[in-house]
Amino acid sequence: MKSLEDLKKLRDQSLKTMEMRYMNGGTRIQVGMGTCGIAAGARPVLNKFIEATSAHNLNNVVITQVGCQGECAFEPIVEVVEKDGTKTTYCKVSESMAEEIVEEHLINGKRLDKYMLSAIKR
Amino acid sequence: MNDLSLYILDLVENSINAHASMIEVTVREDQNKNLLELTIRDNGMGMDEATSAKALDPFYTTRTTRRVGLGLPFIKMATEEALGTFRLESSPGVGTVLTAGFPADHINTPPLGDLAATAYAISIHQEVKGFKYRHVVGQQAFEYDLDQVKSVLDGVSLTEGKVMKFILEYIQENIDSIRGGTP
Repeated sequence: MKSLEDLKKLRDQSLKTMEMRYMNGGTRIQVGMGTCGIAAGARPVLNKFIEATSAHNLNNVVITQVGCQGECAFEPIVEVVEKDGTKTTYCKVSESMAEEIVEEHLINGKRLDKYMLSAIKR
Repeated sequence: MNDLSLYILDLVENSINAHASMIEVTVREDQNKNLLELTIRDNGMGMDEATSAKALDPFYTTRTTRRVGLGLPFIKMATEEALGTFRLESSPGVGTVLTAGFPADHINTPPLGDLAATAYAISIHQEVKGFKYRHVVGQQAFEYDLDQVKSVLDGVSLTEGKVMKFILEYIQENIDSIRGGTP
């Protein structure tokens, strides 16, 4: 069974390879975690973003949780806010879409129009 | 909402919005009393009696983005459906304590759900300062203390992939252990 001593070991081992993440100045991923977001499945989506950005060594990405933005029927909603303030709002985000957003949007710089709230909400 | 862990994640947002610097979540399983009890205690701004009463009304909310507030009504409804108990005690400037009790064997009592994922999501919330999660089964208890975890990590982020995996497993294994290996 894991203990905090094991966490200490992991920390010491990983410190060499883990780069400290910048707390600002990079891209921000905001996951909607209000009642509506949680009920629609935002929690595994949040974890998927952490897993995927970490797996791809994206050091300049901060993942945050935000409350309800008033579009409850389209949750889980994820906003990608770039360094320059450009905001892309993705809706009904699943775990596999989260991976796609990390790979296409964050790494390749291609916005995924088909998942955007503005495309889906008519 | 279909499990206890999701109710917890949702209700903790109320504590965060009340600017709590300490949030303590306890899940207690007591076979002898046929009880599953959830307690959420915070030291946030608290509510006066009138606000406490209104908070249970689905058409009351302090937010402005929509006109309903369903967190507390949902958990209260869940206890009622399982013939359980619900208590909300709050005082301005002191904090709020929410207690939801479920008869363990009632068919409508929600399953525990992924408590580790909930504790982790609370831990990485940017506005959460102090957070403790306690899981009690009979005489045995496991306590997760975010402060302790952060001091062990000493600057390494909780949102590193490896750290996330570790924390999720650490909490889950400890809960499973005091529950006697039954996931």
